[in-house]
Amino acid sequence: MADILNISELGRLEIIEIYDYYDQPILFACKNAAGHLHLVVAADENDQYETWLYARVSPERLTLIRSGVIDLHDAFADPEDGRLFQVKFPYDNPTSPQIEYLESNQIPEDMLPTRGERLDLKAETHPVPSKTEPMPKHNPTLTMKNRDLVN
Amino acid sequence: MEWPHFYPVNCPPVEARPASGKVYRLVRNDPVQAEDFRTFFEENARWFTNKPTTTVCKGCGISVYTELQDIKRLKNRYKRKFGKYKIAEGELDAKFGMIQNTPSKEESHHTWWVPIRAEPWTVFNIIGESKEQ
Repeated sequence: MADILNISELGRLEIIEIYDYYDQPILFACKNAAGHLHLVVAADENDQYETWLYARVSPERLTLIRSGVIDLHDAFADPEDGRLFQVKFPYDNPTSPQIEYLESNQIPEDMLPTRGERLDLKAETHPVPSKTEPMPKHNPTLTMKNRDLVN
Repeated sequence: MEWPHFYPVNCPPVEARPASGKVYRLVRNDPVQAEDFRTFFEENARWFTNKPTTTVCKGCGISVYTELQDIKRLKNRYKRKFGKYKIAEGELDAKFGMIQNTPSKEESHHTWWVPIRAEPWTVFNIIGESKEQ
């Protein structure tokens, strides 16, 4: 299976918030050791490999995505950097993913979340820390929800 | 109730209730097969190394929805990822384990923990295309 949190170009990733879950996280925000944020989505699967998209986001843009100002389609179709990572994990060699940059106009439309789908999360629960604050820890007293599934 | 050996302690959690009622799941096979009920943990145990127990427990369950419209929305939201999957409907009772409401983007997302020898594929059927529209 794909180790979706270990991409050489991005560094070791840590999930900070899960937005959609089906058997596993399929849409989530993560950060690397340098504190760079990425929004990640499960984009495709076939008999040979599964494909994920990684779009780097600023804390400000993630806030807009979380609150629904930017829909999930545009979060990936119009990335801040003008491009994103497409990572294919072959089933027969999942530890050697195929990584390539895609310009925004190269992303197949049906690999993107459907246009108009958006999150609707309160801005005050934003999990992204400032540079001087530690990451919030998982609170085991909360009812288990998918957004609690963070390290 | 006997759970798979790889479940962590206190899994299913105390908040889970006996399975009951109609649920929906995305499956690859028609008719539904045992492999349509493999958990993320079974397929990728290494991913759970050093993860909190709650995360491991969640990964030992499988996702189902109690509202048909919600699983349709999920399938439609990620067309390339889930477009090839079929929607299966099953009627659960207590012998099929424990279930907990764990809202995802849609509220009716549930995590379902299936005990050993339950054979859930025997009570799931693919819904017709007309119903899936």
